[in-house]
Amino acid sequence: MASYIMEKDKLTGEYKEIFVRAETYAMLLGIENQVQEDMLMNLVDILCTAQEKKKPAAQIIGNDVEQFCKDYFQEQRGILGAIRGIPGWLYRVSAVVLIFGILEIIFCAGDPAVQIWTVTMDISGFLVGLLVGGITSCIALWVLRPLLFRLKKVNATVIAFLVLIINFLLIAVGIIKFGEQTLAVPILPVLIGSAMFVIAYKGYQIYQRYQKNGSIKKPQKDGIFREIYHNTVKTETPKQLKKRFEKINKRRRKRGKTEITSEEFTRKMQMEYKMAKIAILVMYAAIWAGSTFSDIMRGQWWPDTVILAGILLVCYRLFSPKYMLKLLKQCEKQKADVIEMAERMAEERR
Amino acid sequence: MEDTQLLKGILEGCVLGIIRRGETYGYEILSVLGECGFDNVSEGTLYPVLTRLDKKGYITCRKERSPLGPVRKYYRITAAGEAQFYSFQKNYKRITECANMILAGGEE
Repeated sequence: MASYIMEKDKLTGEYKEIFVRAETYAMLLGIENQVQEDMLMNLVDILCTAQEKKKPAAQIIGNDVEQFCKDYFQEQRGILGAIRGIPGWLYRVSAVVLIFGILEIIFCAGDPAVQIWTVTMDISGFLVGLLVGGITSCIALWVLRPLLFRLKKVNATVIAFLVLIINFLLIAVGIIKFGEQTLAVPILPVLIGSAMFVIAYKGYQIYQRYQKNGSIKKPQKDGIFREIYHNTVKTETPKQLKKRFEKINKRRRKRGKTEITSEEFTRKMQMEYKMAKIAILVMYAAIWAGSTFSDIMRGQWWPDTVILAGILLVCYRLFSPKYMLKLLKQCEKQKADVIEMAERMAEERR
Repeated sequence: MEDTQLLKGILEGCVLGIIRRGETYGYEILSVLGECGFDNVSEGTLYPVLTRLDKKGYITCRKERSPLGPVRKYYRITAAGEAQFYSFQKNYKRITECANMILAGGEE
């Protein structure tokens, strides 16, 4: 969750308008997430301060919003900006290729008939993806970006949605046109090349961090964003729970039923999460069984099925709503109702 | 009419001079620049300057929540920044002395 998003709602009027245009401009430039986060948070801070002190926005950003965006994001624009983004982009592609390649090798390892140096990888999907990404970026830069300053009102969500639709349409065209074509390359050189690039890129990042901060650890900024995220989850959870509790009772009153108490609401939430856990596990078990049934019947049950089960479990852990689960556990332990517990946890300092 | 090239040449040194006075942040720097007559310097010009100074190691930056909520960058000058400032100050004095001699001589 990007933290400037939590703060930008404090802006109103001309300050908000300027920010929305700058935010959309940054999105269309395709700036790396952390850099975008940094720059937009800085802009929110400065606009909030100007708004608070009633300083006209023009004194902060000048009279021309388009020129302001060009100056503010000058390092990320143009050919040089695009070139600067290439290593990060190559790193992400290499990381994905590495993950898929390693999985391919692991799945082939269980088959004694296959020799690792003969294994190939179809890279046609990656190339189509590259082409689609390139065309989408060009449309974003040359068509949508100039439009940004000609429109009277700009909605960042609408523009982001538009970019997404363009992307999907291009992917569909790519699949229709090139879907049946394959480009198989030996997997080992691709994997070795990707691994070397990923290691070199990460190594360079660590070296830069050491040069700048005298330490290889990530600097304070990540700690602050994580703290803000957790504090927001803590303060928002009791509000959302109260809203839901009131909504349920409003509906019950309308139907002439008696309202539920906060204890009953807590039990309802606990049951819901229990059922959701079971439903997710059943779904994953079905996916696992369905994809490996024929292998199991032939007696070829490992390592593919074991690895697939491991991946599904990791996905399950990653996507579990950790904060809610922790909250419900605390409710059981301390025999408190969920709203009261959420408010108590929100007041606790991290 | 302001000469943007002239401004570009001295802005880094001036920003270093402001940060040198004590830890400060973007809005405050803009305000001081405005009070000193640089009222056409916008955040769009200042931010890249601060980024460049940070990359060169002349300033350090720490982040803290501002009283209004957003995370704010606070800048402080480094030892290398102090050295750079003195060098800028020396060169600026020399250049303006030479320029003043020519410009004053032209008016006569």
